[in-house]
Amino acid sequence: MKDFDQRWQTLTREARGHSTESPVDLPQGFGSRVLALARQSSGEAWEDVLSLFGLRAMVAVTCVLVLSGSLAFSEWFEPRIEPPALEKSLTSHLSWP
Amino acid sequence: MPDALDVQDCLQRVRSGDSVAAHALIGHLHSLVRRLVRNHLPRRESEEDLMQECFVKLFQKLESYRERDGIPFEHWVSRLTVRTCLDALRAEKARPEWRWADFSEGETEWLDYLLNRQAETPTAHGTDAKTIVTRLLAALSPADRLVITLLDLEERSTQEIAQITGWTRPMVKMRAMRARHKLRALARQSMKSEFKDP
Repeated sequence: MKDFDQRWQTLTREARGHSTESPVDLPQGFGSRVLALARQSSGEAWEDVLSLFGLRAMVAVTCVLVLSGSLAFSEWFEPRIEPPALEKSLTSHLSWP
Repeated sequence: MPDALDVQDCLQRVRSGDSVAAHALIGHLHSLVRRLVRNHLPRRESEEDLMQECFVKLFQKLESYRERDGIPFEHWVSRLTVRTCLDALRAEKARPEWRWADFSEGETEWLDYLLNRQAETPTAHGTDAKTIVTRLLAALSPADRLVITLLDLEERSTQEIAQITGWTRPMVKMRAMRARHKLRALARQSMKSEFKDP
């Protein structure tokens, strides 16, 4: 392996020596394209965030509405406990003629 | 002159929406970004497309760069570029498998040398060395390719690689060692195909 490492170093040294590092000018309109894309995608990112938050808010509001609705309905249909007609029956039983 | 650019002043102007300063910044950084992109370019990706992606990310994340963190701007850009290239390499679905028949005569001479079948350093043209290195690296996993490129081709220190990649130094060393083992296995594998090829 050590031998391979040494030979690999020789090979990469040779490759480094022949790397094509010619200075290349920027393509025409490259800067404008980059700036336009950066503006566009940053807008999209914000829209994504907003829509994500919007969606979450909608889900949360729906949950709250369903919960409160179910609570309201359960109260509405809850059997009313009427006080027993105790007083009346007692008085009728205990009433003196 | 792009080299005489006052980067911090330019960054402030870019943040305040000055497009002239943004163009100047691109002009100042393009040779650095191009060199990195060229070294870490996936096989089927265009150099210009990947450069564009790097610059778009740079402008999107510019707000997160602060000079007071002690990181020079060029280091921050290098890190962002290398990470973008690594993502592009990871997105590649398949890696090539080279066979002996795929190599030119000069390239096989280097492979023979690499696998100890030839004692003398090849006299083949240096571009063959460059091609064989590129081909072998293309067959490695993205992370292995990255570490070998940074270490052996860009001649960066393990400390620098740790800063760029976010890995620890022992991790960089370990990955480099494993990557070289894989390179040897790949070279052997392509040599074996020499005897299988009709």
